[in-house]
Amino acid sequence: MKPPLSLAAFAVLCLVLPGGASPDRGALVSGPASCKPDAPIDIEVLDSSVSDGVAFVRYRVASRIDGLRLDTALELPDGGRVLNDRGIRARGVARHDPRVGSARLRLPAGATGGRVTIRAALTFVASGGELDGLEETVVATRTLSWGALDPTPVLPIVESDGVVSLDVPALRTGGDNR
Amino acid sequence: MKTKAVLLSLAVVGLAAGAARANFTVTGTFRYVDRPFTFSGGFSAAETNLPIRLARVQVIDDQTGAALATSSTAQDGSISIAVGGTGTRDILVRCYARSDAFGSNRLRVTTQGGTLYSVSSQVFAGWDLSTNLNIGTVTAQKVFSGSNQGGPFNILDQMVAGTEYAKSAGAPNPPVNLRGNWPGGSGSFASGTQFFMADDDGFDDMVVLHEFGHVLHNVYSDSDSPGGSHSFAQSDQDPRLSYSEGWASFFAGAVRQHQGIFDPAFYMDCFGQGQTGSGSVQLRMRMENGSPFATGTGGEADEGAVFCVLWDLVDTASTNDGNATDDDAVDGSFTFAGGLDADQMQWAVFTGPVAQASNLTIRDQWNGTFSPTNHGQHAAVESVFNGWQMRFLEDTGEPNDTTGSATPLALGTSWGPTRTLYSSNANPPAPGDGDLDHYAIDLQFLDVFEVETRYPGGVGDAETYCDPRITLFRPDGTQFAQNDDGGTGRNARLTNQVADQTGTWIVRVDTTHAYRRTGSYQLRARVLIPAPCGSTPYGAGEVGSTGTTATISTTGNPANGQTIAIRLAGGNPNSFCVLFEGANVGNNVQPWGTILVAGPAFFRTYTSTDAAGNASVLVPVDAALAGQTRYYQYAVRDPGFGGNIQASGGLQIDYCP
Repeated sequence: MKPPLSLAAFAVLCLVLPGGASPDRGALVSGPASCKPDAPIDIEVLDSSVSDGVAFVRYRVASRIDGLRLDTALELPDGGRVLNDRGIRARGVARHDPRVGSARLRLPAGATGGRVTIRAALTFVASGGELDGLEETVVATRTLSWGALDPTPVLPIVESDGVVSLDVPALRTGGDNR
Repeated sequence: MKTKAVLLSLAVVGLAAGAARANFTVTGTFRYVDRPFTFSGGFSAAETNLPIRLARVQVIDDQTGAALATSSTAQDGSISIAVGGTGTRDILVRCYARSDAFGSNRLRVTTQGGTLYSVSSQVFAGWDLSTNLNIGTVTAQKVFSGSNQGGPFNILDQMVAGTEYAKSAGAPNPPVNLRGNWPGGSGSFASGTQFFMADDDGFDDMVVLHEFGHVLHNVYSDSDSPGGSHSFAQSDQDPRLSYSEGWASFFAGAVRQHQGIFDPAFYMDCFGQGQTGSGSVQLRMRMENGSPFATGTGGEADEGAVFCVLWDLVDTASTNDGNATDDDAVDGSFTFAGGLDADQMQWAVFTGPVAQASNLTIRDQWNGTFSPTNHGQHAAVESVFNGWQMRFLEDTGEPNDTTGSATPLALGTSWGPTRTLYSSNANPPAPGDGDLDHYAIDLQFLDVFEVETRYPGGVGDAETYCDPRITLFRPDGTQFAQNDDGGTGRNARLTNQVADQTGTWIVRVDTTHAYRRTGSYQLRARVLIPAPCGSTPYGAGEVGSTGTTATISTTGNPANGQTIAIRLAGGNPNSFCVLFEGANVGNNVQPWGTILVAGPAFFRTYTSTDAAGNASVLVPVDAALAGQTRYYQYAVRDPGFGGNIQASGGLQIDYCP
C-alpha cells in the first residue's frame, strides 16, 4: 500500500478545524483559529504517495488574481532529489484558471519521515503607491510530510560579548514557567 | 532603524521582591538582536540591538537556583535591582521572555511545549553581596529552528507594544495571561489567548502583531470569524473572516504608529531563513493605498479594504510617514464625541457594539460608530468607508421603499447605476439595514423578459458583500416571481419570464441574508423576446383649431377572448368622432389631412368625445382578430378647423395568436 503524504499541522489547524461562530459569546476568551494572510494563490494537492523511497505528488495551483507568471518549485529534505519534475511554468495567468503539476522525488536514503514543500510564485502588475505598474511577486507554499517527524529542534546561538548566553529552552527556575 | 519609543513610565524597576534589606544593587542592560525591515526593501542586511522592555528579571543564586530578587527591565532595557543579603554568592541575572508590567496577568513567549525563553548574564562567582554589581549589556541573540531565524524577545517586544497601544486606546490590563509560541510550525496562527508564530516568522513584526491582534480580539472583544485560509485582493471572502483578519492587520499598523515608527502601516511577511533585500519579501500590502493590490481591493468583505479603512480612521497628518498631510478626511484635526481620538473611538466601538454583534462584519464597526452611541463626524467617516467601496450610504434612488415610490427603470441591455441596499431614518443615518428598493418597468403581455442584479461594475471579484434578492410584482400588485441566488455569485436573476399582464411591473430588491445586510449592486431588466402582440403608434396626426393633436392609444390584453379599449385623447370636446380600422396602412391625402388606414375593412364605429375631448371604443378580440394586424385612426369634428376635421396619428395593433 502506498501511504499518502499528509498535510502539515498548519493545514489541519487552518483548513480543517476552523471554528464557527464562537459559542461562548460574552465569555472572556473565545475565537477560532485564525491564520496569517496567504498570497492570493491556491495550492491543492490532488494525489500523493510514498513507495520504496520514492514520493509522488500531483498538485493544482490557481491564482486568485490575474497575473503575468505562475511558477512552482519544490523544496526537498536534505539528501532528497528530484526524479521527474513537471512543474508549472505558466504565462499570462487568468484568475481561477488552475494549472496542474506533478513531481516524483527520491527521498533521502534511510529517512523514516520528512517534509516536501510546494512553492508557488505568482508575478503580477502591482497597482497603487510606489509599486504601481511594477512587477510584484508573491509566494505561497504548501508542505506535505510523510512518516515519523522529529520535532525540529530549537538551536540557540550562544554568543559572547563578555556576558551573553541564551537559555533555550533551559529553565532552571521552575516557578517562572507558569 | 526601528525605534522603540518610550511610552510607559516604569514603576517596577527597583522594586525588589523579598529583599528585606538592600545590601547591593544590580545594574545593567538587556537587549535583543532585531532584524529591521522596510516595505520596499524587506529585511535589511544590518541587524540591530534593541532594548528588552518591561521584561521580568531575576537575580539568582546560581548554586541553589533561589531567586534573590525579582524586578523588570525599564523601557530602555536597563535594570537597577536592590538585593538583600550578606556574604558571597554565585550571582546570575536572568531576563525572561515574560512581562509582568500589565497588572496581575503576564505576557510570555515560549516554545510550543511551554518552555519560557530567557537570557542570562554570566555567573559572577563568589560575589560579595556588599558590592554593587554591573552586569554590563546582555544581548539575546537570534534563535534557530532548522534554518529559520527567530527572536523570542522580539516577539515579546511586539506583545508589549501591542498591549501598550491597547491600553492607550482605553483597554484595561489584560484580564488573562497571554502567550506567544515559537517555533510554531509551517504557518502562523492564533487561537484563544495564544498565538503561534511559524518557524520563519520570528522576526516578521507585522505578522506577530497580526496574530497578537487576533488574541486581543478574542480577549477584549469577540470574533465571529469562521476561520480558514484567506488572502489579499479578495473581496468575495466571508465578511466575518475578512473583518477579523482585517482588524488584526490594522492593529499592527496602529501599534507601530503609536510607537512612532517611521512608515508604520503595512503588512509584510518575509522569508525567515536569513534572506535580505526585496527578495526576502513573501507578501506585502500597504494600508494607506493598498499597494500593490490597490486595483483589486475594495468592499465590505475584502480584508485589505477592512484594514485600509480602519487605518484611514486612525492615521493623521502627523503620522510619521514622511508626508505632512493625510489622504482622507479623518486626519486628526478633530476629535470624536467625548473628546476621543480616532484610536480611542475605534477601540470603544470594537470593545462595545462590535463585541456584542452576532456574525460581526465591518458593518458592525460602521454601525457601532453611530449607534447606540453617536461618536459623530458622520460625513468624514462615511467618506473613508466609501473610499474603499464600502457603501454604507443611501443611493440617489431613495426613497423608493414602496411600490408607489418606485424608481423608473428603462428596459435594455445597459445596467443601471450602482445602487445600495441601505436606508435609514436615523440621524446620523445608521444602521441602514432592511432597505427595500423598488423599480418600475413597463412590459407588454407575453413579453419574454429578464431581471437580474450584478456586482458593481460586473467585476468577477465582488467588491461588495451584498446578497441581493429580487421579487417581481405584476401591474395588479400580485407577486409574480422571486429569486435570490440565480445570478452570478450571490446575485439574483429571473430569466425567460413571460409577462402575463400589460402594464407597469414592480421589481423589488432586498436581502434576507443573516449578515450581508447591506451592500451595493446594479440592476437591469430587458425584454429577451418582444411580445407577439401589442400596439405601436405610427404616422402623424392633424393639429386641431385648439392647437392640439388628438392621440390614440390602447389598453388591455389583445388576446382572444379579451376586450381592449382604443382610446382617443385631446380631441374637440363633445364632438362627433369616427374610429377608422383597416387591414393595411393607408396614405389617403385629404384637404384636412391624411387618412392613415386602408381597406379592406375601413370603418370601425363612430362615437362622441366627452367634455374633456376623450373617447373610448371597446373592441372584443375574437378568433377572427387573433393573430391579425389592424391599423386604427380617430377623426374628430373640429368646428374651427378648415374642413371641420381633426385627426389622430395611426395605431398598429398586433392581436395575439
